[in-house]
Amino acid sequence: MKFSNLLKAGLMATLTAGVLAMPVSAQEYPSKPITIIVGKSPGGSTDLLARAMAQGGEPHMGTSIVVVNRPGASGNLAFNETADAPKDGYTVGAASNSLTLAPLLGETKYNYATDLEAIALVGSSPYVLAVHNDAEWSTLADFVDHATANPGAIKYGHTGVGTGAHIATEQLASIAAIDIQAVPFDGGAPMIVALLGQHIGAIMTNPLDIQEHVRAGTIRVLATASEAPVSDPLYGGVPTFTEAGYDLVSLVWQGYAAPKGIPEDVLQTLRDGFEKIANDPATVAVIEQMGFEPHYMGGEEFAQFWIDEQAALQVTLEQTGILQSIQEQKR
Amino acid sequence: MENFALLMQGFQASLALHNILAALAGVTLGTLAGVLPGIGISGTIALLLPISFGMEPLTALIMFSGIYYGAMYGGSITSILVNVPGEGASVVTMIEGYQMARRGRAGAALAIAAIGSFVAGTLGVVGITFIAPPLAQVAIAFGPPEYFAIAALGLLVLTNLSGGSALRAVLMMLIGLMLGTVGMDYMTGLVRFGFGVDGLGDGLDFIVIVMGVFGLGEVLARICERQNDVRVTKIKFKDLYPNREETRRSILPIFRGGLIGAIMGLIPGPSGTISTFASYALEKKLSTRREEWGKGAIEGVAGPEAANNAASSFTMIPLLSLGLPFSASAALLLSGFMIHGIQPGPMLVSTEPVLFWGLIASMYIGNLICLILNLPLVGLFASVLRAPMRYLMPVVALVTFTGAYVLNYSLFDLGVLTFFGFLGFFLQMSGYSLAPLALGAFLGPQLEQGLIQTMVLTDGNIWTLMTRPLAGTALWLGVAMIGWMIFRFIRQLLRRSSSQPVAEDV
Repeated sequence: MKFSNLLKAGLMATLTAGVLAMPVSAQEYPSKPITIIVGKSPGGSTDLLARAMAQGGEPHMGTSIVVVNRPGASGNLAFNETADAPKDGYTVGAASNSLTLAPLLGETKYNYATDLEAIALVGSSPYVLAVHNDAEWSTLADFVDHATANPGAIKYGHTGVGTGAHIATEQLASIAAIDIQAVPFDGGAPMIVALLGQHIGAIMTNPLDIQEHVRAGTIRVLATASEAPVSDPLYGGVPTFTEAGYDLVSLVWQGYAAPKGIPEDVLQTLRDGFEKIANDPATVAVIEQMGFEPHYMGGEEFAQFWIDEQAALQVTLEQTGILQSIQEQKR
Repeated sequence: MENFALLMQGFQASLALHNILAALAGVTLGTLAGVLPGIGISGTIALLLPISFGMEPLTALIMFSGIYYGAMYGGSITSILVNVPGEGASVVTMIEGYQMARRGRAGAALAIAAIGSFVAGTLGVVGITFIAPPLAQVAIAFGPPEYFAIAALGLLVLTNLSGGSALRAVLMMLIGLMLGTVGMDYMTGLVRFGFGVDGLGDGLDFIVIVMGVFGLGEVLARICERQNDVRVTKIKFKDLYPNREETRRSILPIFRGGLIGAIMGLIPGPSGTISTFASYALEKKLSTRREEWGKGAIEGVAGPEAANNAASSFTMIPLLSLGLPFSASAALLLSGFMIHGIQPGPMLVSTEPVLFWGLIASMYIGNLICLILNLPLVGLFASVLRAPMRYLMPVVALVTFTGAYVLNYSLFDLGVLTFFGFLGFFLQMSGYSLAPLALGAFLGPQLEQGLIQTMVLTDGNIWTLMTRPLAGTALWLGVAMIGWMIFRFIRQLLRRSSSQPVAEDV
């Protein structure tokens, strides 16, 4: 353990140095390591992607980048810490879906979609609706017909109330006017096991998690929640929800954010640097390995993306009744 | 036999020098990660991910897998020496292991734990080699009703693990169940018993609870002992290792524990922990030396340690053949695979035969390295106990706090740790056994989620639980056990009232 302790001590030391050091004038930015705060435990795709960005970032940013993990409160702790960080450009937060979603669901300290500064979007992946290959429905139309004829009979799995996949499935149910029942699971693996054993009828999931089962022919994807058909030939012939007549676009995405109020030129340096990192072939390879499509979006566009997504989620949460049910129980 | 030929090819690949070095590095780091509570497999793999970028995939995977199963060897060390469980799977090892250490048999306990881990780990790999695909299908057959049934039966059978008053054990178990309800409600997403405190929103971390009640609680208990400097006499090298008697008593528990662990490893959820409880309960039932239990019975170390190693080996089966991690550490191992562009799943054996079989072969080698590495270290670790308590205990407290912090990088958890340290201390002083509390806190969430899922799946018809073959059998067994207990209780009452009070039956 000594070895990893040493590394940890090193990380902590650089972090402390990063936080405690006096503000430096803008023209010499960056003059010390930049910290990326990740709101997940080590090892998940958000963490691994951040580590790959950090690894490949040094030549592009002109300084080293370190990753620290601050899991807790579904990632809100890390967002709060990013928002509260010194406005000197040495603290960056890994941003993902809950940034726009969490403020709508509960009393978060900030509305992250407006209280953080967008740096860059680097990758995204659509949710897909997947069923067991032996299921009696082989297309989205069959699925919807079956659900219409047998209200409440189809059970679908999700990995937590108010997660993107749960909301997307409820949105589908609302658009298609069908009654399907939600079964909560404690993570993706048990949920996929339940689908493989046909204990549940369908799941809305990140395609990476089921990729090998799709290849093996045990799981079939009925539709993808992307704007354009997915380029992977594995999903050739699978329609998007929009193509199938249901207006549903829902992406899992990975990007980076900074505290509001950092100097304009520092923000610009960060945005330029992250653009180069995100388009570096080495980073692109990791993005793909983590199951995301490389999907670069610059800071200003990304900020607008947050606003738009949050507005759309607000509508969906109201339409599906998720917001009302949460608020009613809070009372 | 085709598998055998492929395995030989795998050995060819994994016996390359750089791959043996990778296995050595992996299991060494894994053992060390297991030794220090809190800093687990996850942190270690995460730190090594960037370093592994330059390696070829097989080499990297051999290293990551080595960390994964190597940690199971290290996990028992702090449990036995200082009563601090590094992870859920070594909670049970503490019960007898720590008592053995206090009797001066720490070396024997450590050595048996290493040997048991080696035997069960190797048997686990043999299982993976020959019967992985059909076993993966078994995992799929288990659905939410089965998880519920296993958790329910587990609570029933395992609560009074350490003996003593059944009423007190049930009370502790219920408190554990209550602790398990803190945090987010599965069905509605609302935070229960959070009292507006941010840190409670994610629930209480099971590991922090057990590190508190056992580890910190023990430190406090030692402080309160008057003559706390127990002079451990210098042990001769020969006495450091298990004697013939101890070895003989451990053989059957190791095989039985390995079998239990293997079966449980196929079930999603932190199966390693349940299998250790189950193995302990079984060995205690079978033992002819009841009086030794709770005072350092070696079977109580051998069985559970074998069980958690077999479970962690068998968890590799769903991971490799379904691509599904059944535990948090397996999830991290999966990340390690993915970063090298390897996606485990049903196709892995056919698309990457060299990699798959090379990895399996490396697990045979790695387990052997673990044994060779661990046995000589036994003496070194056992000598830790010669340190005077007034120096040892502050170090233990420091290690416990560091471990609890590194787990989630949360200062709040340190508060939780302290609270449970005092709670554990007072409960222990008042004669309550803490294992049922840990069991309740561990199985509670599983029980609840299984029930909720079953209710949705069956549209609220709970009777379905009793009619499914697997879940039904387990639950009817539980009902029969409760019936038997009530029957025995009534019979005893009747006897006591009819005969003389002298009649004291067992």
